[in-house]
Parts: sequence; C-alpha cells; structure tokens
Amino acid sequence: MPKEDLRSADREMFEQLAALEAGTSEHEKIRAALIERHLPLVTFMARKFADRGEPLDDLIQVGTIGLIKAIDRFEISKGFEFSTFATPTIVGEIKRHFRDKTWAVRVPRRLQELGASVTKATTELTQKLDRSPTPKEIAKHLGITVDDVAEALESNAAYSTVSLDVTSDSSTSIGETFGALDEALEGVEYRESLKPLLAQLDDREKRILQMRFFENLSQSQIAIELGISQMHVSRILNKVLSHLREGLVES
Amino acid sequence: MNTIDLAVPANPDYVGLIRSTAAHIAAHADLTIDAIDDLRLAVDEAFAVLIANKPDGGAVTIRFTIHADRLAIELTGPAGSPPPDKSSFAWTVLSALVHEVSAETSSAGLVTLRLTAKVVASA
Repeated sequence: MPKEDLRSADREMFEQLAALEAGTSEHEKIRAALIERHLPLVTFMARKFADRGEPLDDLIQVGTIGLIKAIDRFEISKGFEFSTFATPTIVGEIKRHFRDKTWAVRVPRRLQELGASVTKATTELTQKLDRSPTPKEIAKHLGITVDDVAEALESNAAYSTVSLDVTSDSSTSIGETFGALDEALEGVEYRESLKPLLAQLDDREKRILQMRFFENLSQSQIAIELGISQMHVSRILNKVLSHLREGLVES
Repeated sequence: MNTIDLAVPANPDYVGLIRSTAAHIAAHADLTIDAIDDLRLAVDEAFAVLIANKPDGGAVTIRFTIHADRLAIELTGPAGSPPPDKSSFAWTVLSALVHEVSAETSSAGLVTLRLTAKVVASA
C-alpha cells in the first residue's frame, strides 16, 4: 500500500476508535489492529537500542507498551501523523527500561551516585585541563579519596550502564568507513579473517576502532569528536575488541 | 618503586580479575583516566595472546611495577604459549594502547609481554 493510503487508513481507524466507547469489543478490535499495524515501527526503534546489553525481544516488548500508550493518547484533531506522535513515546519507554533495569537493579545506589559524579568530573576536568584527568585530580575535585574514584571507575566499567546519548546512527556511510579501515589494516595479518568480523560492526564501532588504533586519537578525543562520553567510548572499544578476539579464535 | 605480583590460572575466567587489578593499580599510579581505560583493554589483549593456544593448565604471572614516571606490567604466559606475532591485529592493538610493548622468550621457553604506560606529568 502506498504511504499516503497507509496514512489515510490510519486516520480512518483513529476516527472510528474515537467514535467508539472504550472497552467495547469493537473498540478493542480496532485498537488491536492499530497496535499490530505499527509493530514494525517498534521493532525499528528497538533495533537502534540493540547491542547494549538488553535482549531485543525485551526492548520490543517495552516499546510496544509505548506504542499502546501512544495509541490511547493520540488525538487525530491535533493534526499530527501518528508515527511522528508515537516515536518519542516508544523511545521513552525503551529508555526508561534501560534506566530502571540496567542501573537500579544491579548497582547499589551509593555506587551509582559515585559513578555518575566521577563521570561528570571526568568530563569537566577534561575540558578544563585539555587532557584526560588522573584519579587524584578527580578525587581532589570531588573531595573524595583515590580509592573512591577507583571503585567508581570499576563499577562504571563493570556494569552495563549503557549510555543513551546516541543511537547507532552515523552520518558516515558504511562504504566510506569500511574502506578507510580496510586500508589501515594493510599489513596486519589475519586481515582476511578480520574482514567478515569487521563487517558485523556498526558504523560507529568501526569509526571508533579506526580512530583509536589507526589515527591514534585518545578515548577522550574520540568522545569529544563523536559527542559521547569517554566511558561510552571505552565500553564500545572493549566490546569491539572482545568481538574481534573471539571471532579470530573461532576462525 | 612498588611491586605487586599476581599469578592466575591460564583461563579466560580470570581476565576480569587482572583487568580490575590493573585498573586499580593504575589509578594509584597516577595514570590518566584515558590511560587507565586503555590499560584495561591492553591487559585483556595481552592475556588473550598468552593463553591463545589454550595450553594445558599452567598459570599466567603478572608483575606490576610502579615507578614515579611509569607503570610497567609484565605478563608471563604458561609453558607452551607461542611468542606473539608482531604483524598480528593483537599487536597493533597493544602498540596503540600503551606507550611501549615488547615480548621476550626466556631460555625455559616462557613468553613475557612487557607493557609500559607512562605517567603524564600533571600540573
């Protein structure tokens, strides 16, 4: 069905829904049909948050909750396209899932707060000093001990406190990144076995790999360049290197 | 100059232990956050190199030496681990993560990887 027809079908269904009383079987039927029609949107959004330590199915499930909320709240008279209206609600539910689950359940509150303040201080001091700070400098800045900083770094690294500041989108095209990385790998042995493994990485992962290992940028520099936190860069590198290592062992 | 010695089974289960230990020591050795995180990755990589061919049992010994201007980490693999290939991806990674990396095979055939991370003088 062409896009326009899809939209008008949406409108028609929402008009029917608005005319019916909630809880009636007819209302339920149309609501269920609307949910089903828009599940691909949920899957699409959930995929953007995949590879962050949570199963895709769980993300689709919470995203669907967001979709249902959006269907129930949508007012056709406001003139929005439903997909435009629903997207932030779906993403909101997925993000909430990460906040609730990956943080709160696994890390004690004290460490969460310590970790967050160390991350914040790292960013502030990196800007102020124009280089990555030392734990001693962070400790002094926050009025805590170096041991506290070490503990916070450890918990930050160990728990999958996935940062949600960016999704996997990247403005660089796959061909572009891959070509440059491929060139950089010239002379590295196992280059042929690395290729398929590199192909499994997303654009941003490839870009970070290249920046760190072939352009010799520091993690902080990469973080600034990509507008993400240094800790996030660190996690991505960790994940990518493990992936390549495991893949090479298997091949 | 302080020295810390650690010996762990040559088994991937223990990589987390040496990674955490390395990070903790590095924090006290006044390395920057960037350098600490790089060291974490380097220790992972070095450990993986040493236990790559899964020799039967054995241990990896790790010696951390904290100097005023650098942190040196020597990882010695179990008997039977191959000398690292300097044209490998792992070696490329190691070279980028620390200031210096070198490898040596003892007369007994044990491979030692030496990683050196320099302390950047802080103002």
